[in-house]
Amino acid sequence: MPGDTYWSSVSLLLPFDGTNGSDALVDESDNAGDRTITDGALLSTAQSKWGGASLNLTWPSIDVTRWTGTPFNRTSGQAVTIEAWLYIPTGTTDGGLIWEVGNHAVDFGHSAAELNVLTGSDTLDSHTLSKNTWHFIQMVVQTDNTWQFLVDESVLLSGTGLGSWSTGFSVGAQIGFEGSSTPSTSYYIDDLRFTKGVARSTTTPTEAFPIGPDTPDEVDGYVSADGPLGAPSLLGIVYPTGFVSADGPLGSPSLLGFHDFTSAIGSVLTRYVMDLTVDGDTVRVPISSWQATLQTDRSSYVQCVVPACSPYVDDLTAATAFTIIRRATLPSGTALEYTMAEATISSLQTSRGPFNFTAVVQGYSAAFAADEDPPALLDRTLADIRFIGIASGVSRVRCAVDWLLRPGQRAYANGDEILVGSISYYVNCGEASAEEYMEVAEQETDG
Amino acid sequence: MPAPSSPTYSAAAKIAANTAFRDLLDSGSGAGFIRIRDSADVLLAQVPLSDPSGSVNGTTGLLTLSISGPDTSADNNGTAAYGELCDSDGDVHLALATQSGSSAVSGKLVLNTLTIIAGGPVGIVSATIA
Repeated sequence: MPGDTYWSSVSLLLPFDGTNGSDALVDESDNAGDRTITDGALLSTAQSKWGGASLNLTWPSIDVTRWTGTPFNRTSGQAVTIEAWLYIPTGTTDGGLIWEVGNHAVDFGHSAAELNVLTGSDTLDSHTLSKNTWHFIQMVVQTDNTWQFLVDESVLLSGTGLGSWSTGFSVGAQIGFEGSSTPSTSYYIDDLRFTKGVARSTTTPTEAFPIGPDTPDEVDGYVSADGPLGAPSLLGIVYPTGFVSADGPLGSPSLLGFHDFTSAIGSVLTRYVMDLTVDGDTVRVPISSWQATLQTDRSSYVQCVVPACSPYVDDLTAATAFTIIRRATLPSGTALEYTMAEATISSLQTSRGPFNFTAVVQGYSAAFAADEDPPALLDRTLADIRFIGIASGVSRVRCAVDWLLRPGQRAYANGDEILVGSISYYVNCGEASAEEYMEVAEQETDG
Repeated sequence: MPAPSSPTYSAAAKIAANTAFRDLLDSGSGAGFIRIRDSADVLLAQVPLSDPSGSVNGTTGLLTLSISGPDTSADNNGTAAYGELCDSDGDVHLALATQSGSSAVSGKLVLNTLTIIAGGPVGIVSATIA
């Protein structure tokens, strides 16, 4: 991999690579000896943009990772680039500082799940980030003291007032949580780099920040001259230096696992909600009923009803997909949620009743894969059987809604084996008229 | 040979690499296993591998791990964050992040749910290294 042309200007480079759970944060810059890294945010291999690990900041076990000393002092008229990768998992609505230098900060949170640029206590601007993906964030300061804050190459904010930046920031730098707020879960930072004296390119990198200087091409020169009055000629030969970089022959692993948690549920009341996908984010909406037909070899159909939908009209209109979630809170306090059905929205209908609007959302999703010999690990036993029938040689069973059974799996009804071709769900979640069941149909066989 | 669009190893190289990895999983005195942990490294479940732990396709080099059986009773409640492939001594030879879903994803341990409930069975449906 080529090195960094501006390597000598890199004052901090944290790749956040290492063993899961390690608190050993290594500064790869040549100035590493100029500072002390304190406190203990931990490396995590759960998420990584580059190198297999990242820095995971969670609450409340981790506070702040801070660099003390004066390596980040900026004199007036000096360019600076601060950049890092940021990953916000679904569910995180409040976080903490991504970085802070002097009185100037970028943070995530304020209970609004937004990225904020701040000077002191003033929030200059906020930006909603999509979850579960890595974003490249950059603060680039030019020599004329103008600056830009970018997310994935898009300029979110720019200005000329640097506040405390204009006089340097000798108090050190920090990332992570601070203050008394209680962030909801956690977030991840990968490849953090400070470059002092250079306003770097704002193009999103396609590989990890290089460690070490760029190596120039080797040049050998041959000089010949006829004499003091003759015309000189120079012949330059460039020997390009080759760098080979490729993943090793050990290929990528793929593991697929299955957990059956249903024995812990017992008679605990279960409920259903709908998650809308809106601009890459998730909006939870209460529902009064849902129906679906999930099947092999044909598209699946899902429909649900949102009562009193006025507060959600904007989200319903903007949503592109929806997911039916089944929920239960176990006696241990563990909240369990499981996806029952999901679909791309094909239509949205609203109608007005005596007091409020009701919305009906419907859509389709891809067929489930049929399997003539599904893994026994996925087998389910149907419960609370109300009806077993055979029509056109295909068995149908009406029974209680199973959390884990899906088309393509094997089910047992009173000891008889069924290769599941389709499942039709009928769920009314109304408080006064709650009822739910599913009908499981056998895979149709050719001929 | 046309220029490859990505680094391309020979089948012999893949076979050698994946066989060496399989042998690492088998290097302990017994069968290796797959561990599932939460983000605080709490062990949630441990699924045993067979011994030997898998087979390498002699043509493609694909390593298919053999699962001895499910963990019939998960050890702890928690949110699965990552999985580990270990030899029988507990030495980790591969760690990879989890994600929820119903089909295999390259580079991930995919589980139908990341919420592990103690006492429930946890199994591995398939495990390969390309």
